[in-house]
Amino acid sequence: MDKMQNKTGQNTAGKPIALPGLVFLCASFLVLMLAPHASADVKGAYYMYNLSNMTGAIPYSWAGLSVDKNRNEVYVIYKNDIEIFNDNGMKIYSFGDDEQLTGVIYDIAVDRDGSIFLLQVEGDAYSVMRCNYRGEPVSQIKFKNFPPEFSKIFPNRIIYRDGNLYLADLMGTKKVAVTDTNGIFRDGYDINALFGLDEIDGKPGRDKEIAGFSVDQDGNMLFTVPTIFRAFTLSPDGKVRSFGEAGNIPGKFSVVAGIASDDMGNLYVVDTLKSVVMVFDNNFNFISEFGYRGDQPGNLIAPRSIVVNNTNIYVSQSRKRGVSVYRIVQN
Amino acid sequence: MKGLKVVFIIMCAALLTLGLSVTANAFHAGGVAECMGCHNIHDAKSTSALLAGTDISSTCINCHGVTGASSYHIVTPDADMPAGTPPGNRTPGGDFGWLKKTYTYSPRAGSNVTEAGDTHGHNIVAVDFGYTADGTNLTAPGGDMDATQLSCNSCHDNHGKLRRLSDGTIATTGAPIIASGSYNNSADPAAGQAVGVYRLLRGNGSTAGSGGKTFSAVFNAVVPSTYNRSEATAPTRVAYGAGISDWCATCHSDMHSGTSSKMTHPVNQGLGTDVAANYNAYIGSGNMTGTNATSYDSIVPFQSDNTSDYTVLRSLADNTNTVKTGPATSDRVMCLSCHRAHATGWKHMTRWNNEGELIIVDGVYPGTDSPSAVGVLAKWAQGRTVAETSKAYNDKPATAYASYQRSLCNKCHAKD
Repeated sequence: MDKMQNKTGQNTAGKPIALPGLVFLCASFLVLMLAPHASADVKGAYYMYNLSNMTGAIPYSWAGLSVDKNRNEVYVIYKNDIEIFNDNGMKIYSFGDDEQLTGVIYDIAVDRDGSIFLLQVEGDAYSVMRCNYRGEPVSQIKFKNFPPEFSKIFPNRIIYRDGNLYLADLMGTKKVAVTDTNGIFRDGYDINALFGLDEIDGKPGRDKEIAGFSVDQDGNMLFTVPTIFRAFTLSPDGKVRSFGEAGNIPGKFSVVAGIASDDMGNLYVVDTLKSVVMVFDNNFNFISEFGYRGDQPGNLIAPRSIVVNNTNIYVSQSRKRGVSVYRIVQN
Repeated sequence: MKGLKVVFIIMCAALLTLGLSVTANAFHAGGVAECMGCHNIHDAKSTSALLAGTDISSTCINCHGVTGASSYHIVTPDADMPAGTPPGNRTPGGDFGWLKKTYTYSPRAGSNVTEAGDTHGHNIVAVDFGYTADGTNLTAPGGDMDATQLSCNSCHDNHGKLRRLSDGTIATTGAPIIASGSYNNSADPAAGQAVGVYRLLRGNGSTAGSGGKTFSAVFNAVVPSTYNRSEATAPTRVAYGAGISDWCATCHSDMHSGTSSKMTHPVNQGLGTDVAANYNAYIGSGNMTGTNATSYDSIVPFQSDNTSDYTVLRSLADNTNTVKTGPATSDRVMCLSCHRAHATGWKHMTRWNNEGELIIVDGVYPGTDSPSAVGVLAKWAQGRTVAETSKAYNDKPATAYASYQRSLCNKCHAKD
């Protein structure tokens, strides 16, 4: 402000705010409002427990994860069984491994009303089944109004956020289609083109598999692409940001996998090879990492999927080490 | 003038930056991968090789064993294979997930059969993912390699030093590897360049991998660039060239007709007039009306003569149903005519079921959930669902064969 006063040669102290000052203040306010939310001071996370049933920790290997933020429940997808856990990490319900569902369940999403959307694959076709809160099939979603360029997607992830279903084809076409909960097409994103994957390293984009995918509270999509050691964010209006570089030291990427964000905008990136979860603020500044390969309860072995609910972080891993739950530590 | 100088400096800096930034070569582009993709230089927890995985194969599966059947995936995660659901990958080598598929069934009253998963393929040891050494064979069948040492890098050189030079020479040095040489769209290397050998497989000149075996043969082959796919409408035709069976014999010497004193099925020998004629005429049991122009069957592939000419091999590798020609008399039978390299849905890692009289009954693949009253019978279903049976044939339609189809040994031998 001093510089501004010097530049204009006027001292506005004690006077009503002049028009230029008002414009500046408004502009500053707008910039602050439109800028990404400032991340909270997160120091890291500490291990609490593994997802369990009445007999102890459940020995999943590379289970799929989904979260129902409205009911503070975590869903585990494993061998066509859907198991639901409360926010104390205790199994409270399961469904899926029965005659009612004929396909292989790839992923699951829960809307604000508690309807469950099962993404399943049967043969070479996919479908999304709407189920009630008990997991009983209600109706198959009939997708409509897909433009031709999105008609051939084969999604392997589904996420619900704010009335939208995000169907992500991370391996084939590398496109994301956004529909309402009735399957009506709303928007679509060609990840290969938006991220310029074909141009990176001179190798076809199809060879650059997208490993991690999630959608943050503002509708920004988060991705990891392990073969180029990079993570991306994609805003609803198509703005792309990316970060990450190869390396072993804290904050660098080896084989990155799942990615998620907390309510404060901090990003959590799983590294399967380093067996850690890295924490970044929303400006991609590295904050800390936790886990590390080992046999202790808080360690991780080849972690893969991650979801965050409030201050809890859920991480799936291999070697039948189940899903570890950590608590975010704030400054 | 001063402004021009500034512009010039900026342009030079930009060119330098761009020039440096495009040299990165992500992962296995024919040669060694990014070091940090597999090694943890200063904080490795497991082995002296600074691997971040517990063992070599676990490190590989970190990337090659993730969810979704696509591209370079060759291990379906346990989470995606509940009972009755097959492994999803349909690569020419097969999905190691079959090793976790144990089938129990009762083919006839009072008789129970348990077909252990570890009979379905090469039992790589990958502790992080629950893959353990072969429970039956303590050493490689027909050889002496310790089964507990079998890992991905027993066969593949994970550092990919072996390369094909511009003059066709296979060597571990001589020119930089610029790209993969595995695909039908892989360019030939120009002078001063090299491409990687097929699938980074070890070969003559490679160091020994896990298990200590040194290869003296080179595995010459070319695959279509899209290869992990359903074969419902078009086969995935890998063009196999010289050296296949000799390469396998590195570990299985006593199973190779050229090196074994035992009576064993011939390999690396020309099909000859009779067998080639059978192959070309055979469509299915009782149907010998085929011709050479369309007789190729990816379930029973053959080696193209003894060629190491990559122009020829590239022209034969196909997934568009364009190259359907069957064998000439000089084309050869090889180990991979009957087996897949990784794993299959069948015992002894064969490409088709040899444990029963019929592989198709009542016009359908059998299975415990078959709508056919015949197809559901245990002696045909053998504990598998229709989806598992079909996937074991890479989803090639049952209608491609006879409604009561017998073993595909008959593709060459026509005894049915």
